[in-house]
Amino acid sequence: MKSPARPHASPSLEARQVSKSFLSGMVRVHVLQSLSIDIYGGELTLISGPSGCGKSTLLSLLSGLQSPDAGQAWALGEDLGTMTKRQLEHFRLQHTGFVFQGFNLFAALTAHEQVQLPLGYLGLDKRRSAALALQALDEVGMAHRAGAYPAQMSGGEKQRVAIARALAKEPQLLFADEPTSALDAENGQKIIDILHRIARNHGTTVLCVSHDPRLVRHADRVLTMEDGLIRNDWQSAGTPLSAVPTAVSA
Amino acid sequence: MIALARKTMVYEWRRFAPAVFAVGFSGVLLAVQAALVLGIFGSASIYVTASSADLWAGYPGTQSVNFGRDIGPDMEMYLRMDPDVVEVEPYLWVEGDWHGTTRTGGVPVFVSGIRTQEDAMMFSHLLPLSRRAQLREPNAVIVDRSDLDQLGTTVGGHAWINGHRVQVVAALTGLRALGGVNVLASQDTARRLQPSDSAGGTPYFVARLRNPSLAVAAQARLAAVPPGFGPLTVWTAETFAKRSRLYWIFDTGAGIAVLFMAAIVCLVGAVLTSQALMAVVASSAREYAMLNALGASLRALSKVVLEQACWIGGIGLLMGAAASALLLWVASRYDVPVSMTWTVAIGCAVLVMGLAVISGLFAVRGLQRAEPAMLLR
Repeated sequence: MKSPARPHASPSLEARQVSKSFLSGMVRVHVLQSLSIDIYGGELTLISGPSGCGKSTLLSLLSGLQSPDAGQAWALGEDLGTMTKRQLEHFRLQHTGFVFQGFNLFAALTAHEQVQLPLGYLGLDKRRSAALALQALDEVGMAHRAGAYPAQMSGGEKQRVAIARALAKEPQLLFADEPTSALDAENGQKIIDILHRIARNHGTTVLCVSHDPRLVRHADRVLTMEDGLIRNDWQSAGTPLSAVPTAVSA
Repeated sequence: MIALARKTMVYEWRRFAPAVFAVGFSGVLLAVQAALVLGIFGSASIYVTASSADLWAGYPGTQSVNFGRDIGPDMEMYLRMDPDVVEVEPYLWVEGDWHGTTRTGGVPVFVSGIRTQEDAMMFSHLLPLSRRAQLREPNAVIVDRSDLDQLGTTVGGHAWINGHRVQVVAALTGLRALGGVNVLASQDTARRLQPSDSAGGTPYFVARLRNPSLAVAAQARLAAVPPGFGPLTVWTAETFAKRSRLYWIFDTGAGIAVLFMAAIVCLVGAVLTSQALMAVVASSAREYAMLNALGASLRALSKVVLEQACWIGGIGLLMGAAASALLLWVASRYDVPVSMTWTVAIGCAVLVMGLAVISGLFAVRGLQRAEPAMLLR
């Protein structure tokens, strides 16, 4: 089992003085304010906080789904702000996986095909992608349901397929936005365990955003956000690293 | 690669059905309109297409068969002088006023004065030899079956053309005319029906060649009319038929109106199809956004939508073709003037597929809204 590489390893995700605001009607809402953070590989990092605190926005900036109004975001040492849309798509294809609260599975595809589909965009042939997809399904305990359609699956099963879909291409970065919010306790627990195992076994950087308190005790690191700032940075050793507005460990 | 487009269409066929029907209906409307145009305006050239003549000689600048003007009788000799011409016959055209026995009003008719010999060229594709022989009776005429009611007569009944009594000896199908009623008569009968103030000339001479494939070369030779012969133009039968049809389609308001309607059909079809396809894309927006988040490019996702558009076009086309064939068969059974050629049918098919692809391109724009950030809470 891999242990967190900090503090000597370089971070896989970095945000420097990032700010983001949105126009809500006539009012401009500042969601993130000059926030800086480093996230490391091999850890399940949880960002928690109340609704509207900016945690999903931070995830979107670090994953390249959105760009900051000010500041810079790096992923795997690459400045996301300098990439074109096509380059960002290519970067995501090569390095990132996503799990969202909505499972977003295609109704017409079986579990196996759902996982196989993104692998086709990587240029893998059908045989190889089929094998990788089955392996990913096996890792989340869904190999026996490979032929099932979304309509035949429970919420927990759908989310496990969604994780397998993100996992199949063996990404270095895995982003999860409220992955357990739509699930019951038992299924939520399973998902947390899987995410944790992925971080530990694959050395993947797992960044999870959630307000689900059940996740806190399973995370290697918990960042608590409020009003667009990180109020607390805690790691599983048990001692808070810091309790400052911006948590920059480097 | 997983066949996402096809699998989605098969699994969720109900969502795609409206788009398929929209394409199918557009195809039916286009095909039926085209068939009506061909059928209605094709009757402008029935005199040429129903005859076996290879060449037509008439007054220079004649735009359509019904606009013939008299040419000199010596033109027959001019045509016969060509080494490839084996037969020449005159074709008389008399415009008359028909009065039937059950109607008092006059009906404008076009009397075609034709030879009654068995090897005659005029209307040889339409007129069985037995019917042609009936025309040898003085004052015998043949009309289209669907015109009998309008003419106020029956087969075996009589009527008057330009005040001369004629007898309807038979009725055919496929003889309907634009702007009047076609009447077939022998040349002798036709001459008797000419108004007294008419010059009594012949508007056309038609010729048969040794071999129909020599038509273009013979026409080119005969086009250079030597001095001494009166004004004359020689057309191949194909050219003259096309000339007559195009005049009615493009130089009269009726043809343009029909073409305008066809354009409207295309536009409405494109709007309906693209709306249906956009609704399908919108309903899968989150799934497409998910794929985009995982790195599938917008270009790759656009291909999925365009592939679906092509499937919709293909299936709609097949349905439209089957429905059109059925409708046109029914129409022809009821003497509705419809006609279809392979060229026009393929043209309609290309338009329908183009319509589906353009709708797909419109629907692709819906993908722009499938931003991965929309998946975040």
